[in-house]
Amino acid sequence: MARVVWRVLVPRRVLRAALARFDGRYVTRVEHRQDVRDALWEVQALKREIAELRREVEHLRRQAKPPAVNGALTAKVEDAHRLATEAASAVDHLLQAEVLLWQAVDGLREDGEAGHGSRATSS
Amino acid sequence: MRLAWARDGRDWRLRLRLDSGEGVAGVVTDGQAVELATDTCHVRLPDGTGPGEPHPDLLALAAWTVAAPWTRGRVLFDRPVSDALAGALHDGWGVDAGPVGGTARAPGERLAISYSGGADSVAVAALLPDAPLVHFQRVPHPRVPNRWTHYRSDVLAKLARGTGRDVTVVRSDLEFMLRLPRPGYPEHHAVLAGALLTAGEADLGGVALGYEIGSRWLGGGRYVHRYTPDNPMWSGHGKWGRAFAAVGLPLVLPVGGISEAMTMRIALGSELRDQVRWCLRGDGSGPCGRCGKCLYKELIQAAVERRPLRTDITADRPVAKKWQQPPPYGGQEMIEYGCAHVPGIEKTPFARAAEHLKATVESTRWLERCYPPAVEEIPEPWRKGIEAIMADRFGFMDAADRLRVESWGLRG
Repeated sequence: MARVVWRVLVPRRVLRAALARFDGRYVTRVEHRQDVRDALWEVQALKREIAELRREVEHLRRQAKPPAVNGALTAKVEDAHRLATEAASAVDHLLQAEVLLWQAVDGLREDGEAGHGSRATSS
Repeated sequence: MRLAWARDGRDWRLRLRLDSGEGVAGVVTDGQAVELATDTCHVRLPDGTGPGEPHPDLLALAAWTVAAPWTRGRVLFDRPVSDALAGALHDGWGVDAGPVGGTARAPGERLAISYSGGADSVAVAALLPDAPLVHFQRVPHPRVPNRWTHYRSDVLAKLARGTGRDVTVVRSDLEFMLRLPRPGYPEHHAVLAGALLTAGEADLGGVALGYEIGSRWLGGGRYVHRYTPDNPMWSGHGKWGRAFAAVGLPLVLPVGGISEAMTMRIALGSELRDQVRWCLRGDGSGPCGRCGKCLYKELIQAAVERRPLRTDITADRPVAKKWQQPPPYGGQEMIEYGCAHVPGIEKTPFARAAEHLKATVESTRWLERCYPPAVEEIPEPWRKGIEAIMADRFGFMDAADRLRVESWGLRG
């Protein structure tokens, strides 16, 4: 119904010009079909490439050897770690012993002073 | 215990000497057993600190925050302390402090914020936009092996500077005085060493901390997990509160009446949100997302934002282990709040805890309001301002809410 009204109300020449203008702005069906076909072709191509890459990864994976374990280096690292841990713990003990040593020194000093003091007063 | 400070430029070096009868085993005010690692530490004040000496009481109290766990009977300082401080130490700890002489320090005018960069202290900084910040930065001890290199105090200091506020960064190795359980503040108050030593020059009359309702009133963290009106660490009338008041630097807890969820809401809604960092391990790019603290704070943040938990941590990870056990938990009020507000909690590492706690939105509503005695405790110069903020943003608890606080940990 609307189309008929259009036809009746709008002069044919104007209508054609307007339609031509619209057509110029949009892709045709034929071009659409071709685009879809091109896209499909690209998807297929990519599929084949991925399959190829997968095969290559698999192949390389089979070829790859486990990383060489350098026994000497591992032993060295382990030994360095052991030494660091033990040294740190030994330093902890030394520092605490130092605290207690000073406490003992101070105690002796105080006793000495008290001793001198008492002798001085008694003599 | 004998305590002596020696100054070398902007470094203040402290030396402890044990008396006979004292040993390397000590106990912190909150009951934690600790072991002394060594007898020296230092506090480095920032560039531009004047040549003047801090008041002897300030030096003495700073030393006391380090030495208190190991002191029995008496403490001898290298400079005479005031009657007021000696009295506070005697009343609080039963120790004879000496030598006594000189006058007490009069409080200054300004309130500083002890700023760690976590959500609680950021909240305090957001509420008090003009207050200067004092940040404590851990540095390695020259004598103690550092097994804690994952602790990124440099990142935290950088974030603190990034606030654009008046920030004083004070570096210290005093945490390495603790051999056991791990490096940390000998007393919690040792974090204030920098605030104490700069209080004179900065004209400080109080120091604000981010301790919230859990730490101040509910015995949270590693303390007793029950209502603690007379909390010895943080109450104004407790032994530490009186000692700090005696040196003219009373402790101020602006967010002592609200929960960690509310401090998180303030912090993340403030202009300092990009500087908030509770994780001690993360680098410049962000929190680590793997430690126990990240998990706990993520629960609170998710609850505040009413969204599902975002974490890769699963229930079988060691950091999630304690939430698989039945309560009580430290900071349990926030676990309840989180379990009540996080959608899909049954699919998170907190599922078991949620089953035990059975918390609901209604049963945790008291954690969104302010506990009035916390405001009454704030020293007079700052009380009115904080009271207005609390009334405006949170409102005060009613009698039923207050009963929740005052019976915390006491009901079966």
